[in-house]
Amino acid sequence: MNNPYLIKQRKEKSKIVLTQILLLVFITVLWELASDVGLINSFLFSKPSEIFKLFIVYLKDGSIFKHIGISVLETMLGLIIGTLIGLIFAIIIWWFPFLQKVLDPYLVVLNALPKTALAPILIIWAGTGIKGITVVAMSISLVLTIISAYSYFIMMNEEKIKMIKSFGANKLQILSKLIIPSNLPNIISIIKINIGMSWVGVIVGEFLVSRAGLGYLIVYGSQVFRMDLVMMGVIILAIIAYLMYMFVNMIEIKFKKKRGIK
Amino acid sequence: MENQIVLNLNNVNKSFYTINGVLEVVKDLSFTLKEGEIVGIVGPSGAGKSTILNLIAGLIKPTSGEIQVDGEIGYMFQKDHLLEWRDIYHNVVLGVEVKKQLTKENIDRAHSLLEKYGLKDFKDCYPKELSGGMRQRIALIRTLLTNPKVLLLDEAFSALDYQTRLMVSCDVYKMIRGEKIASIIVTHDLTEAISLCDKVIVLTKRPAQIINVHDLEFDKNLSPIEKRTDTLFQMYFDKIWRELNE
Repeated sequence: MNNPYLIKQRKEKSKIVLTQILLLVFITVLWELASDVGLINSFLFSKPSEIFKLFIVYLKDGSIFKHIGISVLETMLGLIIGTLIGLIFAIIIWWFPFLQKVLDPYLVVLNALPKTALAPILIIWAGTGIKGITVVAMSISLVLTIISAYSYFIMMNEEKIKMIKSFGANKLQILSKLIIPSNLPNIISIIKINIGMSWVGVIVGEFLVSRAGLGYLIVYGSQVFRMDLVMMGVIILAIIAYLMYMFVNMIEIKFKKKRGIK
Repeated sequence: MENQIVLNLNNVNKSFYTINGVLEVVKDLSFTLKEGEIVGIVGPSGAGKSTILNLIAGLIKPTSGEIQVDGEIGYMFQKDHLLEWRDIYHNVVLGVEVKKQLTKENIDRAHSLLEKYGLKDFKDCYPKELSGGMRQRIALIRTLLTNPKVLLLDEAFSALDYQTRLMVSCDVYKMIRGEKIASIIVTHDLTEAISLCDKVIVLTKRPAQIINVHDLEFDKNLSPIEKRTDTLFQMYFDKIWRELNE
């Protein structure tokens, strides 16, 4: 560990982290002071100390866990179902090129359409509550997953396919020994994107119909003009979304290590 | 034994239908390959050399004519196409795995081939960690493990830099000679064809037809590198060069 290069790198890294923390502290203090001296309207902007006090209240009666739990559950369900169905669809249209050509314009239209516009319809069809919101979350990542997974699948090197065919591989073997394993890193990055997509679906869904969840807290807070509640909802949302992203990131790093990629 | 024919092409023709009509790629191609023999195919680029290999490998069907192969075909490409998510051992067994022949016997053979060609210590490494020459040798072992009767090498060394290329082609030569596998080497490099092969087939430009077949009469004990300095080498080179440019 006496390698000067590594020492320099570690120093650089801790410098970055320290500055990041200081930046956060600086913004929080600035926000607090600005509303104390009346530079910004604390009714419109709330302030960190009030948000924190409110958080303690929600923490003490445990209701914050209920809201976080429901939103995370809906997001995870939407993420998993959307990604899985999307991947299965991508495999099907890879397997049947005719089907791909037929469905192509429909997929393009569905992809261009802002899926949030479909949310009211989906909720009417699937029902309110967790079910409807999960369907909205799923629908947002579904089409993009199909399109991007399919385009990754067909990017496979033709000669590699020829190589495995020269050993007599059938289509299922090309899929299971070549296409899927070579695209695992791409599938992980699709999941990373879908986390964000799924959260959009959940928040939109909760804005429309819900009695719990982080989206509900935000929309309820804005309706009764409790900006501390809105801000708390947004901040918790940011932290949870970040944690989920980091979780997948960790899996990705472990996976890369296993494959010997540094 | 030496004279047993493992591959026979009889009046093979291949045309493709394109937007501009029929494109003749291979015309009246006939030749044979004997057990353990190494044959080179040279010709102008775009002559249809790769099409010939695809025909032999059965990846495409001839328009007319017959191709008889006695046993399995192995294929080596310009790139090694090792799968970067598999370690070396699992790359080596890919072929037998696909053929559902992952038997105890083949697994043992995989290990002994890796040992024989000096790659035993790398069997848990990933392809990224190895040099181009090692990777090409591993690709060859992957093919050898499926027991091919005929090995097709499609510009198998042209992705390597010159020095590595000489070394790897020499290694591969020793391997296919040692395992006594009949091979067809397609290359645009005349010197490579002359130094590696027993016989060189010279093709015209498209549609590919045979101009001439040269039986190279080098001393059997010369290595490919030594052949390059032999007096016969320059003579064959000049002859084939002239045929190609007529």
